[in-house]
Amino acid sequence: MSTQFSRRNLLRGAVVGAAGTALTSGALLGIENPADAAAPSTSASYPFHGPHQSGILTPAPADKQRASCFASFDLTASSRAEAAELMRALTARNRFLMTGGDPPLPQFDAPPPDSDVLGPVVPADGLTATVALGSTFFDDRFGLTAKKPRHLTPMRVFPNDSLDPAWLHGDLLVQLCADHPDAVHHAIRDIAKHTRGAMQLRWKIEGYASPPRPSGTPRNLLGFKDGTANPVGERATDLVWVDDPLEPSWARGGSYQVVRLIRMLVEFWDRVSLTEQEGMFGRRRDSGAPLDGNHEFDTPDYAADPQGEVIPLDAHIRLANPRTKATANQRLLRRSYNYDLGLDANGNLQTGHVFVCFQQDVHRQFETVQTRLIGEPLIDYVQPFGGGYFFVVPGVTDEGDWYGRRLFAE
Amino acid sequence: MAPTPPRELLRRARRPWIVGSVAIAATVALVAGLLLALPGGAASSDVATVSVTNAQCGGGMSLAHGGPRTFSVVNTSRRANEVLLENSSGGVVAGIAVLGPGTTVNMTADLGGGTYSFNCFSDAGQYSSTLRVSGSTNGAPGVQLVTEDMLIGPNDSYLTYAAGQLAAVATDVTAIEQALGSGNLAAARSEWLTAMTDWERVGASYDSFGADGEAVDGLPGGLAGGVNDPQFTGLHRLEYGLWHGQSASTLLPVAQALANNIGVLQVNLASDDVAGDPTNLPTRAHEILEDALRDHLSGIDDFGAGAEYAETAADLQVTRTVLSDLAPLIASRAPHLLPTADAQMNALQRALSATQVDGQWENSDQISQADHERVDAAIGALLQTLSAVPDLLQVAGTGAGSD
Repeated sequence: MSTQFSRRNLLRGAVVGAAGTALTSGALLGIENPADAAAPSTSASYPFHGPHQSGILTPAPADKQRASCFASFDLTASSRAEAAELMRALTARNRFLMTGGDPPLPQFDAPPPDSDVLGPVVPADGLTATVALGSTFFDDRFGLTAKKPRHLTPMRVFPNDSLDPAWLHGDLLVQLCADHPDAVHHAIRDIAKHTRGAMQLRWKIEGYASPPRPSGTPRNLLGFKDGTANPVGERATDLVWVDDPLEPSWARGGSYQVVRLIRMLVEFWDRVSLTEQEGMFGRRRDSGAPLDGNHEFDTPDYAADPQGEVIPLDAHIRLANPRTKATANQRLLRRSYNYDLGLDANGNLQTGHVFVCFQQDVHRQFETVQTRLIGEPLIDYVQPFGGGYFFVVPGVTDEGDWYGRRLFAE
Repeated sequence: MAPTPPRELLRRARRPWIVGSVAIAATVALVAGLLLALPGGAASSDVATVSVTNAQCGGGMSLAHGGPRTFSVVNTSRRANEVLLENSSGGVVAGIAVLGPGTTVNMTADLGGGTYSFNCFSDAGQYSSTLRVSGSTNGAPGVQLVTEDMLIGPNDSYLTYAAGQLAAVATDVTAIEQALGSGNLAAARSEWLTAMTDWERVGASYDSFGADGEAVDGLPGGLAGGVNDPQFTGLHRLEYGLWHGQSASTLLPVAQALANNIGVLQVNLASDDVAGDPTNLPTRAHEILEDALRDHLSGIDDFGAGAEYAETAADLQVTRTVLSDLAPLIASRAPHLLPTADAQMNALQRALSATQVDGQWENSDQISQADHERVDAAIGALLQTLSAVPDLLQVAGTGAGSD
């Protein structure tokens, strides 16, 4: 680090005391951010204010940002007032981070307010920060037990799980998605810093999205296109946002979020024949077409194949979405990522899938689907080891609103 | 809810074999490379169309020269078909296990001069057409498919072996019961290791022995109460208690239930739900050690004993037995596979033995990183070789229409 750099920071801090903020930062921008020839391309920001939070249908899963982090926190706040204060602080941070702009100017007598990981002016970088609450948020600590969303429970254990308590549950989940990993890092670091003492990280995992290879829906780390049948448009809206009049009124406009950390045993998978792999998914690996079709988005016709001669009865796509009238309202919105976490103890790659889905009713949707998948052939190659159930609070409507304001007010 | 079917049977129910079989007859070392070259157009010349109709399997075709060729196989019939391309000696050089009605799938083969046939199998029967290739170049030799009958002898041999091993486990568990009955936890721990490694030598890979097998070696990961769940039973439940300070009187009923479950398994061993289906034997050849890698060497199924290397060594022993039962079938199809596997099994044995001190297995965390890496490297290389066995010994006629 050059002395010039240090001096400039020093100067910048000194100037603040003397001149107006807006002027100063504008001038500094010109000095510190010349040309921009090498700046990464980045989308515009996504809205922070609105009836629903961004990061679910905005942007939609098909256009989701490439980088992500799922950070589960436990609240260490000791009173309802402190918990509410935490929610206000979180609101302020996420509003700033998703909008981007100038951090507060540094003070001469204090460490800098921003890490500068994204440079002196924080770009939005397509960041969405989505806040959700675990069932333990509604235990007796904050007097909110009566306001718990109807279907919010701890994540249940499924028979094929290999759960590790260190990677499970949490009082509060922050999902961060952005165009670049450094923006995700910048955001979690900023959020943790501004909420210290009130909540503590319990577990977190970073995920990345693959681009289409070569086209269509991106592939998962088992090499198959994953998410082809995701609902879109109005159908997605109808499946995702809570509108049940039996839910507490503050919760309407929210959504149930399921996160499942699923290790993929890729070395073993790579030692299995393609025919067997395709039978397990029910799709061709190259095109993503269902085994009874020729193109990725062909609709499988299970009625024409009642014995499972073409698409096995226990194929993943067939169990997950039988495409019947009776199962239509069990569909869910997936917004998953890949992860890499170094190595397992046996020297294998520790890698897999951050399965993320949103729905109106975690029992009617995720649990029903997951129950059908118990014992599917794919389970020899995957190990769910963590995650949890959360409730995405409704959106922050304007400058005066904050996460869960109505939850705390009612 | 209906009981979960045994995983192994589900996984292998279709017993598909085909795509990529061209490579299997080649030497083991070449398999990976050839498979890489297969998908989509390594065969650069033009793609010929083979039409599968209700009464036809291609219409007859002549090619001016051999070499790698891709065929676009179009099923315009109303039935699912299994499509094989066989040479004049009945060796399969390419195939599609299931070609659904109305679908098109590419099939690639390395052809030599001579006469081949396209054979389609469906509920409507078998149809064939002839493919003539001019010239005198040699193509891939093709694979002779296995019939279920051919696997009965090897599987009977394996069943005899497994029954003997189960009897040994039953004796071991009796010894555990006696040790617990007299309150001797140290003796119970020692007998547990004997029972565990004898059980590994049975070869019940990947829960392939169904619910009866899971009662013996199930893990608590999928149980709501984890290690404290009443449904957590068997050898690992005993291990957890023996290495977590539980009393002999607490563990005695666990050992008694285990003895009972071993007895059930002895009775049911030859049933299709356990080890009676001969078509499962080829998968055992690699899955026993896949299991060792996934569950033992990862530490996932260690509940205190630190026995992962002892268990892996036992898995290696039973893998040798299974391979020896299958040796004639493998040797005639892939002459280099067994010598390669044998050298790699010896390397794994050496790597495992190197971790022992005075002939005793050490706890995993006392073993150096270099020794760990040698074991992981040896088992990884061996598994790459063994992964060819299930495809090599796939049973004929198990594609479309045969489930």
